[in-house]
Amino acid sequence: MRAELVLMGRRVDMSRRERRRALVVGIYAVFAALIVGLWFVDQWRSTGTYIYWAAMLACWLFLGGYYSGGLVKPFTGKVPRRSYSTPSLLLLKLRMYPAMAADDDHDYRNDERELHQRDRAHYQAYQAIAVVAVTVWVVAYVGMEKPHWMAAIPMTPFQMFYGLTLVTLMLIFTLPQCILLWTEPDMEAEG
Amino acid sequence: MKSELKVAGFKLDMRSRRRRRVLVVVVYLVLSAIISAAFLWAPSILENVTLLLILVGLTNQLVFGGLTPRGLVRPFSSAVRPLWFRDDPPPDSVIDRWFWRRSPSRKDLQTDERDDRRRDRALSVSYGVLSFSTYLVWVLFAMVRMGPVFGTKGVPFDFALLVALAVVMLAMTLPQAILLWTEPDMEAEG
Repeated sequence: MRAELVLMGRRVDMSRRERRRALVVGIYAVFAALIVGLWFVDQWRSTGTYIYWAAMLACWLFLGGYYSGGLVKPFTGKVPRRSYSTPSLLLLKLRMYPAMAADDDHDYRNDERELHQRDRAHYQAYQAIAVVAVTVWVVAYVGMEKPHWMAAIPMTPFQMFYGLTLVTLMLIFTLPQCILLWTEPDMEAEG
Repeated sequence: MKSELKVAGFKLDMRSRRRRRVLVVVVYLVLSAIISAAFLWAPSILENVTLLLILVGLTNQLVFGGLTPRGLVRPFSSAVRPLWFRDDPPPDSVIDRWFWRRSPSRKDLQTDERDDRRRDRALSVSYGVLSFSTYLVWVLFAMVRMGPVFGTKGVPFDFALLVALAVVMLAMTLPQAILLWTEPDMEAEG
């Protein structure tokens, strides 16, 4: 895991667990607000896609794991292809150009310990996803057996399935990294 | 992982990887056949949700394990434990004693560091498959919402729901199947 986050050209120290936990809480609070807010916009009709892209953006900027950016090293351990061409003017203005990778690729490759942590985080995340999957089943069952129980909820069963799928997808893309950020102890300052 | 499978009183030797792979293929073929039949014959897939979930539970209980104390793969978590352990003193009730005789011992369910690592690895691989499958379900639901486009009939809600349920079934069986598929041949116990 990386000790600092490069955001708009600025370096933010994330070596302390407390800060990483605040980041995780912040990200999920934004997601919750986004899901609720977009429901009131158009019942996720066309805005549902934004939640998916928000999850991707969170991975790219903060969390990492599935992208080379962010705090968690890529799960695949693959070094991103380096481009030696000058970044576009827009990226330069936004200060979002990628940092040059070190020669030893230490920033991207996972060592044995990190691989174990990655697999353990996926094991824990899997359990949470299983709970959401069971919720899908409960919704399906209640919708069939006791439809009047769901009469008070201002959603059709289809909208509920669609929302649950969106939440599942968002959790799938973010949970393993968040577990890692939440559980890793404070990092020591490099000598 | 256990080296033999007990089915209806018979013991099947499962040390060979080839046998385990055949078993995995057969289990998934049977599950697919039952899901397809349920989709084709029932008026609504919702009517078969409970049946499908019971089917997955039985598959894990009898064959795969992992989420249950029986089956080939040892329980993924120490929270998964049988009603009785064989090393417990025999219970008084006749019914309890029937279960007690068929229950595993504590040693049968113990996992070591290596087992835990393989479990984590299998779940990590399975997580990737699950991610893609959930993405597919989301795309299907989005297509249901879009309705007919370019003269096509559109994706029916029941079909999207069927795929979603298949993903739930996959999530509950895939890590065990990966372990059964990838573990090499076991040596005969001395």
